[in-house]
This record gives sequence, C-alpha cells and structure tokens, in this order.
Amino acid sequence: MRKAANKVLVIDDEPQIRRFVSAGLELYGYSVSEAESGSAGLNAVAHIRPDLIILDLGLPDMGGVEVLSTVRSWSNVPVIVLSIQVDEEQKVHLLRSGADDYMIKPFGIAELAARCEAALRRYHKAVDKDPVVRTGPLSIDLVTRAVTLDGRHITLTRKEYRLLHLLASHLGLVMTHNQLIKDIWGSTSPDNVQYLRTLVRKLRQKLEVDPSQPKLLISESGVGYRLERHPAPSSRNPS
Amino acid sequence: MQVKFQAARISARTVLYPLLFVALTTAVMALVLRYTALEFESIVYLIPVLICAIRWGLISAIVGIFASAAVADFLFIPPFYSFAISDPKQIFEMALFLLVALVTSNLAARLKKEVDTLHRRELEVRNLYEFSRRLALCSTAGGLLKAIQDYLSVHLGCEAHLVRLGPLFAGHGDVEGAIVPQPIAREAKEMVAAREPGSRLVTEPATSSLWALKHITTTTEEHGVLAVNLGKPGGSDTDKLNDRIDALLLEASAMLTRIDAAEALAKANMRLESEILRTALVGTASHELRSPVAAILGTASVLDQMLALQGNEKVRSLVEGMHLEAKRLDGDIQNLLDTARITDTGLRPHLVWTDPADMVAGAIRQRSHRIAAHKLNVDVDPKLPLVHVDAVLLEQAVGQLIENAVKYSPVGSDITVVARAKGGEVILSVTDKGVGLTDEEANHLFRRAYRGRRHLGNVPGLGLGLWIARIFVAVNGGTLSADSPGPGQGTTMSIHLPIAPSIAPELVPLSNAQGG
Repeated sequence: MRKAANKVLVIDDEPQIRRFVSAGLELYGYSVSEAESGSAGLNAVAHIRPDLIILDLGLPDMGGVEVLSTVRSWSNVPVIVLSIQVDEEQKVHLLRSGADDYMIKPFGIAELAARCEAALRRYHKAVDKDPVVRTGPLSIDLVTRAVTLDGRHITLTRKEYRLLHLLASHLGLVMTHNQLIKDIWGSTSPDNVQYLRTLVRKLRQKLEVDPSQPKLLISESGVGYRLERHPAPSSRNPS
Repeated sequence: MQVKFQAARISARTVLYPLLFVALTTAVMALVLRYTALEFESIVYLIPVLICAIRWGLISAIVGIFASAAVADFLFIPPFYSFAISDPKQIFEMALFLLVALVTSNLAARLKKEVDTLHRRELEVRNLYEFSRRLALCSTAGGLLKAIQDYLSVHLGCEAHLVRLGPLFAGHGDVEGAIVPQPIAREAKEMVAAREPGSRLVTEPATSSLWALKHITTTTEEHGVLAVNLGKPGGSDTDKLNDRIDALLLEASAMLTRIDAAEALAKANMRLESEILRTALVGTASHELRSPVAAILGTASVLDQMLALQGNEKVRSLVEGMHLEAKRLDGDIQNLLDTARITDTGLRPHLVWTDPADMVAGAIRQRSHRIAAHKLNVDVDPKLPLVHVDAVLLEQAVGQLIENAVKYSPVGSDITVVARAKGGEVILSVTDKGVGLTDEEANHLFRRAYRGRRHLGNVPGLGLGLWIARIFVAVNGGTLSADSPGPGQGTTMSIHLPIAPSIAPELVPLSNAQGG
C-alpha cells in the first residue's frame, strides 16, 4: 500500500525529539534524515531532496517560518510543522505560509505518521489514478461526484458536496475556515463563518453515526476542519 | 479677669521704672537749668513718659505722667518747693502737658501692642512654616507623629503621645499607657475602639491636668488617638491652645492621607512586581519542562507501536502507564502555562460564531485518554444555536470540567456531558457520580490554587483547572456554576453562555446550500 522508502527530513534542534521521530517513522517504513538547525536543514533539503519535511518552529538559528518560506521559494515538497504551544492565529498563518499541516507537541507517533501519509498523498494526488477518496465507511468519487456511506448512496446539496470535495481532496489535512469559505462562497466575510458552521452541521447529520461525536468531519478549534483518515473497513468496501 | 491677671503681673515694673526715669530726667533738668540760661519746659518729661509707654505699656506711662507733673510743679514751677502754681499761664501749660502726654503715651502704648502682636504672629507663622517643612519631609506616618510631638513640646510646651498604634505607626510608638496616665489611656482606647471621630477633653484626677484626646484618621486608615497634655486648666488660654492643636492636626492629616496613599501604592507595587516575577518564572519553567515531557510522550508512543508489532502486551501496559503519567504531567504544565498567560498578558478572546457541539466534541476528543475508564454519555441538542465565542478557550474549559469529573469519580461510573439551550443561554454541563461537594468546597471551588481538604492527600492536582475554566468562561461573557446534592452524591458543573443575536444562521444557509 505504501510507496517504498519515502525520504523524510526532520529539522529539529532537540535530539530527543529527533530520536523518537526518526525511530517512529522508520517503523512506518520511511527513510529518515536529520538536521539540527535551520541552515543545516536548508542544506539538507537541497542535497537530499526529501519527499517530506518535518520542521520544528523553535530553531536556534532561524525562525521556522523563515525556513518554511525559503523552502517554498523553490519547492512544493510537503512540510509538516512541529511546535510547542502556538495560538490559533499562528496556526492559520503557518498554513497560509505553505505548511501542509501542523503538530502540536506533545504528539504520538501514530498521529504524525497519519499526517505524513496524508500530506504525501495530497502531494502525489496528481499522479494518483484512483479518483475515489475513502475514509472509514465513506467514499467520495471526485470524478462522478458519487458519495456513498457503507455502500449506500448519499444525496448532498451542491454546497455540501463542495465542502466535502474540498476536505476529501485534502484528506487527513486541516483546511482553514477561510480557505473553505472562500472556495464555497467566494468571499471571506466573517458572517460566512455562520454559514460554514451550519453547513458542517447538515453534512454531519448525513454522514456521521453520531453527529454530536463526529468521527469523520473533525473541527480543529479556532483553525478549521479536517476530514479524518480512517482505514477502510475491508468487508464493507465495495470496490 | 484677664485685665486683673495682667495688672498683677506687671505692677512692679510699671510703677518703679517710670518713677526712676522721671527722677533721672529731673536730675538732668536741674543740672542744665543751674548752669545755663534756659527756662523750664515741661515737654522734656514727654521723653520718660513715651519710653515707659513703649517699653511697659499705658499704665506705666500714666504713672510717669503724674510723677513728672508733680515733680515739675514742686521743683521748677513758681512758687518753688510747693505744689501750688501762681502763674495762670503755667497752669494752662501744665494742663496741656498732661493732655499731650496722655494722648501720645496712649498712642505709643497701642503701637507697642500692635508690634508685639505682629512679632508673635511672625513667630507663629515661622513655627508653622517650619512645621510644614518638617511634615513635607516625612515619608512615613511614624516620622509625622514625631514631627507633631516635637512641635507640640517645643512651641506649645505640651507633651503628646499616640495611643493604640495603627498599622502605619508600628515600630515607632512607645505608648500604651507607659507615658500616658492610665485613666487617659483608657479613655483614648475607648475612642479608638468606638471609632469615635473628633476630640475629647479629659481631666486626669491625680495631677488635675487637662488632656486633649484627638482622633487621628484619614479616609483610608485609622491611626489612633493623640493624647496631648494641656497642663492645668486655664480658661481661654486652654481653649486657644486646643484650637491651635486642632489647626496643627488638620494640616498633618492632609499629609497623612498622602503618606497613606503613597505607602499603599508602594505595597501594591511590590506585590505586583513579585507576582509578575513569579508568573514569568512559572511560564519559563513550564516551557522548559514541556519539551522533555513531549519527548517522553513521543518515545512512549513509538515504544507502544514497536511492542504492538511484537505482540508484547505485558510491557505494552507498562508503556501505557508511562504514557498516562506523562500525559497528566503535561496537563499540569499546560495549566501552569495558562495561569501564567492569564496573569501575565491577560487573555484576548478571539470571538467567532461557533457550534457548541464542536466545542463539546473537541473537549471529549482532547480528553479521550483520560475518560476511557469511565462510561461516557453525550447528549447534545442537534438544534443548538451558534454562539459568538472563543472556541479554543471554551473547549479547554469544557475539557477541564471533564478532567475534574474523571478525577473525582470512581472508575467505571457514568459521566454525562449535556449541551442544550434554555432561557436565552446555551448550557454545557458535565455531570459525574463522584465525591460531590461540601458547602466549603462549593464556596471556594473556583478560587486559584484551592484544593478540597478531603482530596489533598489522595488526588493529585494543583487546584488550577477550575480557576482557569472559570476565567476562560468569563472572558467569553459566560458563567461557570457547580451544583452538588452533597458529599458523595456527584457534581454537575455547568457553563452558561448567553445566546447573542445573530443573523438568523438557520435560514441563510438553507437558501445558499440547497440550490442544487
């Protein structure tokens, strides 16, 4: 299922964090390189040409955001940002500056691996032949626009589908409120947050087993929404 | 009474000196008249008379006038050596002399009085000025008291002591009955105890001296009662003294107010500084602690994965225990950081229209590792109105309530999270079947660093969680309440959020979303 040995570069000044991230990601089949500063990291990006970068924000020599924008100036390689305590505005700022996702310390290796996979999938989407996005009981065919839940067809309104499509095409990654609002309504007036909330609520009522404890359409407080990646239940998967 | 008193005091000088002066003038006159061709002029006697009027007052001058008239008549006016006057012109001159002498000496005496008063006033003003200057130099209430005492003893000759030391005078006073006679001290203490304003006059039985008791107080603080010994009671003099002391204290009280304010300010500043330092320390230390804890948690998660691959369940449970403890530690660190954030920079809530259901779901997800051993029931009204709040803060607040429910209820018992709208509010509540609340706990629950006495030894915690929750709720315009039927009967904690008027979110998206 996974591509062999995706190269991951971990840029973090704390050796104990690098150690467990490396060991953990190797368990998940990645080949991991490490850099302990921003400049060493940028060097490594140029030489190793990693498939994914894990970047700590609190580097001693230069700001993580600076490293991120330098990388972005010549490469679209997926970047996941690590940080201790950033507020929601900073998270939104990071996402806008080109980060694919963020992880707040402390985090478990399984979460990180899931984000890495989501980011890589998103990056390689162009070459991915399968237009069907699957997560748990849900499948979305981005070409035919067919949405099924446990194999049953689900009817969505145009805006509901648009929302689901956006989240599905970033499966497992967070999308900010503004990204969603801009795409669905074409403007970013603050009033539209209310529309978005209501739209999410309606979509949840159609997709979630228990809309009050959503498992698919996850809210990231103060930042946005994420369509959570779940392994497809093999017995029920029609394809 | 006053006149008599003065007359008695000045009689000796007023009579003797004019007589002496007149005698001297007469002797000089006699010599001059013997060796020159000059004629006698009674006007010469105006010299001793005016001197007497200026130096010793009107009475002395009158004595001088009559003495000189008598001597002049007897020695220099014909017939000599007799009080009779033969020349009518001489009679007229004598009468004129008497009149002029009386008028001028009266004027001179009055002038002298004015000058005396002026002198006294000037002295008083100078003393008061000196007193003010000393007051202005006082930076403590104790120094001020010393200045008042000095002034009273040096310039008014009264001893003064402060009875019942107020907090500002601590360490300066020596009083408490040691110097102030017992009956006076007792009376003064009565005044302090009764917070009786103004002053009292009390006579001490043993020495029959009069004491004035003055209550010294400012708008912010009470300092005690100043006991001033006025000496033996002496009518209007005592009254005057009393008035002057009052004027003095009036001046001092303005200064005292200033000192009070300055000292209160200095104290508050010191408290603030130490508080800032403390929170900064807590903030930095917590930040430093967080990295290693993150490394431990991450490492534990990697170990867990490895052991899962190897199927080693026994060691896995150990890793799970390590993970839970590290997670708890991280929660405590988060609380310390939140505390530092609240006290240090204050909170700036970022208000956005939010679905209450999202906050509840987020809080449950946040605490899923903690709640796993309990039976969780969630009841969220699907038609809740949106609320205009900071979702991140409120999600943490709900998380704190869940954390508390888990901590204080037995493993396996029910925890129920309910979200509903009622009476213009959205209410998010967490109910457990745990230890409940005593009255004392219910009263202090939301205080910073409060821990119920029953749980100090057996439930770990810093007592910050609910305090943080209360503040996070409050900055969103809501209130946090706790209800418990009593100890051992469970607790319900509720967040009440006002439903703000919105742009009818139920209607707009329908038209927008159901187009195709």
